[in-house]
Amino acid sequence: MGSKIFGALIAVTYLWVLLTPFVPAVSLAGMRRFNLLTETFPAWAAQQVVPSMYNFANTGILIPESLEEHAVPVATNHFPTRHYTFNLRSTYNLALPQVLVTSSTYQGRMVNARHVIRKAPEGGSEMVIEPKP
Amino acid sequence: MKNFLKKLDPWLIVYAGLMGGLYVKVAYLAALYLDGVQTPVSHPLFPDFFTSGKVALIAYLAPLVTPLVLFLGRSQNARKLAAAILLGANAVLLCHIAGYNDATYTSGVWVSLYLLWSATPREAKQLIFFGKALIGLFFLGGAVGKFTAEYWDGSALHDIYFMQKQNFPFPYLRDSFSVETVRSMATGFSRITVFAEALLGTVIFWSIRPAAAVIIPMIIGMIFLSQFQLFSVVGPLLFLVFALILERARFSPECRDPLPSSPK
Repeated sequence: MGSKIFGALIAVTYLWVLLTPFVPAVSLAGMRRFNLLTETFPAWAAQQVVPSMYNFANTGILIPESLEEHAVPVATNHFPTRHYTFNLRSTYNLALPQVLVTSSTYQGRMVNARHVIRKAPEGGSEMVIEPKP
Repeated sequence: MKNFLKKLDPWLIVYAGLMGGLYVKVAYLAALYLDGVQTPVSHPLFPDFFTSGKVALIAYLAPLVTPLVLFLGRSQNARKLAAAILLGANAVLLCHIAGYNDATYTSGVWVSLYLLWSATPREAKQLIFFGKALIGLFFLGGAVGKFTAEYWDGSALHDIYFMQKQNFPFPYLRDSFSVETVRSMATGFSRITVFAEALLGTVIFWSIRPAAAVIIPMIIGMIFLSQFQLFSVVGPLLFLVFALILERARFSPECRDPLPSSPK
């Protein structure tokens, strides 16, 4: 890999990072990335190289749907959706279906997500983005 | 000292840091990825390949062949192959539903790219510049995401660290000080964190020695505060700093002999 390509990758990432506080579209894209709400996988994956440790004020909670009204999401570092995806799912799946309620906030702007997680007919589980009924 | 420095290979130092970062949490991550093979999960955002438990497990284990590649090859091409394997594995895990949230793989992708690029012999000046650029990018990325009221008033880190963490010193602080005092400490801690990260985001403009004098204690502090959980993320950057110091030392006026030749 040549220096020009490597340098260009670094420069573009710096530019994206530097735009975050000043361009709402960029910070919103970052928050949608954190809540797995990006429209397409390539657009989401392209942002994954952006270093973003402890970015945004995030909250999340995994809870039975019947208790959602009373849910108090907890502060979460990094991607709040990890409350389900970054855990031993064999244990968590015992309690399905559940609702994963997450949010990210930055400079007064907020992104909310609600995933319903059900057992999949073919085994395992499926996460579905569903607005609150 | 000069002979000792000449024996060390900066490329291998960076490589060792990256491998250490990948496998420092091996017990936890291997269990997680094995569990993922048994319990697949689908999500509308992710293509099937990036939700497959087997893919995550193979990607996590694949870099274990790289020591063999380097031992058998001992050439530039072997280094390029090892770096390419590391890059591929980290990139897959970074975009996989099992690993996307783990900044280990963000560090992994960038440090693998550095290894791939530096497998071809480069001038020390260039190596140091690109290395500093990567380190600065990580700190800047951390800082800008905290340019928001929740980090300025400390509420975000108050909840994440001062209320939730079970490792020293957080339980001690909760037990020993009033709620208001702990809250004030969180505000101070949060503001210092944001300021320090923003400052180190400019490290590309610093000389490597003063930069290292600030970065090394800061990274070690992050590692201890997180009970080594953050080693996987910042450990490779720490080793990159060590390698840059070595590059700088070997090309200082008193030590300007050519590099011990990189593998051909």
